[in-house]
Order: sequence, then C-alpha cells, then structure tokens
Amino acid sequence: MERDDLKLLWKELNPDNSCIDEIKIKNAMNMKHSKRISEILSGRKKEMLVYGSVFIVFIALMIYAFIILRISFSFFPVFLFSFLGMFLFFKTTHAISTFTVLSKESENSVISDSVKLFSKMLKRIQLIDFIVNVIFFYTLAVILIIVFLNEIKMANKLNIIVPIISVIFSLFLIPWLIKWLHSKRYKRFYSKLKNSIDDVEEAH
Amino acid sequence: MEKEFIKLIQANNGIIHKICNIYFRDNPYKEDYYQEILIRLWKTFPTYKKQAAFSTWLYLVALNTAIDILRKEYIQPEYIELTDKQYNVALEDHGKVDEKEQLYQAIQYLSDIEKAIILLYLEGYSYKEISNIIGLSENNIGVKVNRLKYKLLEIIGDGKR
Repeated sequence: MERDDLKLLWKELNPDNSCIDEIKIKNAMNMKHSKRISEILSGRKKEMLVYGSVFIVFIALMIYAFIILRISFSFFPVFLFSFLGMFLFFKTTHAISTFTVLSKESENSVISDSVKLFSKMLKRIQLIDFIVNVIFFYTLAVILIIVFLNEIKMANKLNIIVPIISVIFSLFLIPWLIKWLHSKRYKRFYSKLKNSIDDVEEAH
Repeated sequence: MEKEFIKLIQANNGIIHKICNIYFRDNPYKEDYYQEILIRLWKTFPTYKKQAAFSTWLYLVALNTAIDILRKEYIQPEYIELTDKQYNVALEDHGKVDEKEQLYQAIQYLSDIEKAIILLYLEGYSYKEISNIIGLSENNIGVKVNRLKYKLLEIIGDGKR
C-alpha cells in the first residue's frame, strides 16, 4: 500500500452520510453527563462519602474515648486503633483525590495545552494529598510515641534512647511510606497521561 | 441558539462519529461517549466564536472530551487494558479482516495525541490547521504525520503477513 492510499482508505471507511436525529441532540442538551460518565462519577462519590463518613465517625469515637472520657489504653490497642485510622484515612484521601481528578474537565484549549494543564492539576492534587498525609501521619506518630512513653514511664523503665530512636524512625519512615503509597496511588493516573506528555515534550 | 446548534451538529455529525471510532472503536460504551461529547459541545457552545470554522471548534472540543473520557475510564479500578501480547493475539484473531478494518486497528496502537493528529491529517486538514488544534508547531506536525504514516503502514503490513 502506498502512503497516500491511507487517505483514500479512510474516505472509503467513513463515507460522509451519517445523520443524527434532532431528538437525540435535544436529549443530550438537557443532560449533565451521559449514563456511563454519571455512573463513574456517582460510584466514586459514593465511595468518597462512605469512607469519609466512617472515618469521621471513627475520629469522633476516638476523641470521645480518649479526650472526653479519658480512657487510658495500653500501647497495643492504641497501635491497633492507629492502624485502623491509617487505613480509613488512606481510603478516604484516595477516594477524594480520585473523585477530584475524575470530576475535572479539560479546558477547550489546544490539545497540547490541555494535556499540560491536566498534568499540572494532577501534580497540585498530589501535593495537597502529600501534605495532608504528612500532617496526619506525623500526628499519629506523636500520639503513639506519647502513649508509648507513658507506658514505660508507668513501668519505671524510662530510657531516653527508645523515644529518640522512635522519633528518628518516624521522621524517616513516614515520608518514605507516603511516597510509596503515592507511587501506587498515582501510577494509574499518570500512566495514561505519560504518552501524551511525552508527545508534547518531544515536540518542544 | 438551540436551533443553530442542532443545525450545526446535524451538518457535522460525521466528525463526532469519526472521533468515537478512533478513540472508542470497540468500547461497549461508545454510544454513551458519543452522547457525552454532544453534551460537552452544547455546554461549551456559548464559547464558540464565529471567526473560525465550526468544524475546527468542534474538533477541538470533541477531541479534548474524548481524551478526557479515556482518562476517566482508565482511572477506574475495574479498567483492564490488553497487554501487547494479548493485543497481538487479538490482531491475529482478526487476521482475516480487510485492509479497511486494519487501518482502524493500527490506529489503536497510537497515543491519544497521535490519534488526534492522524485523524485530522486523514480528514484533509493542512499542517497549519492541525497545528492550530493540537498546539504543536507546523514543522513538528509535519514530522509527526510522516512518522505516523510509516508506523500505520508498517502495522498494517505486519498484520497481513
């Protein structure tokens, strides 16, 4: 096949005789999204609301138990609660960031610009997500260290090395953990975009 | 405004179909995505300035919408993409399809932006017009079009063998 035959082939494939019913256009004009896109968005919205509500209830219960009722648990149950809190927090922020990305619509600028804008928006969401995660995880680490210190203080086994090691360990481990979680979370978001960004960058 | 929009869409409906065929050819939700493009066109119709041809504006909005939809689909947890190996098997299964169908199948190998460029080229747009829609320089478009033509012919050639 010759190179110019592609255009002829394309014309044969797409004869210009398609027509559309006026009712079909009018129906579309009254809709916000098509059925499939609405399904995608409402599915993510439900996920976000369910995880968000469970997380809020969890936090409220924790505040009630630890701050209002002043119940003192030993380190192990607190560690388990923290683990559950981390899981709910991770799921909630994941649902929020996915919904935010999905609900954004690209600008009607030239294609290369909208690819760049989308990539910029994604980076901004990722940064906010990262900051929120850092704050949450460090707060959790501080709580765990305090509970741990109280426990060994009560047992009269206070040793300065243990808290120092815990703090250093948390300082280094938390950003690494968040980075690892993020690479998993955003991998899918970027993989489809990567080829388009490469195309744009290669041309500049 | 409604009547004007309906008239313009009816006159240029083929463009939306071609975009859907390029981006969602074997997608079970192709009809839904066609409707989504129509919805976005209506939402953004007030931004259409009559200095440019309606078809050029339509390409711009519809291509942006199609790429947006693909991203939405891809971010879905249940989205499953064929691996290269699976895709080759699928191509072999369709080995008996004619040359025309092979062109569509070959286009599926291209990236989102490449698909947009080749569509506009096949539709007879000049490099300058393609450059205005895609946002890359005319020279870049020229280079890309040539490269894409070779790539498509190579894929179609391989499919025949």
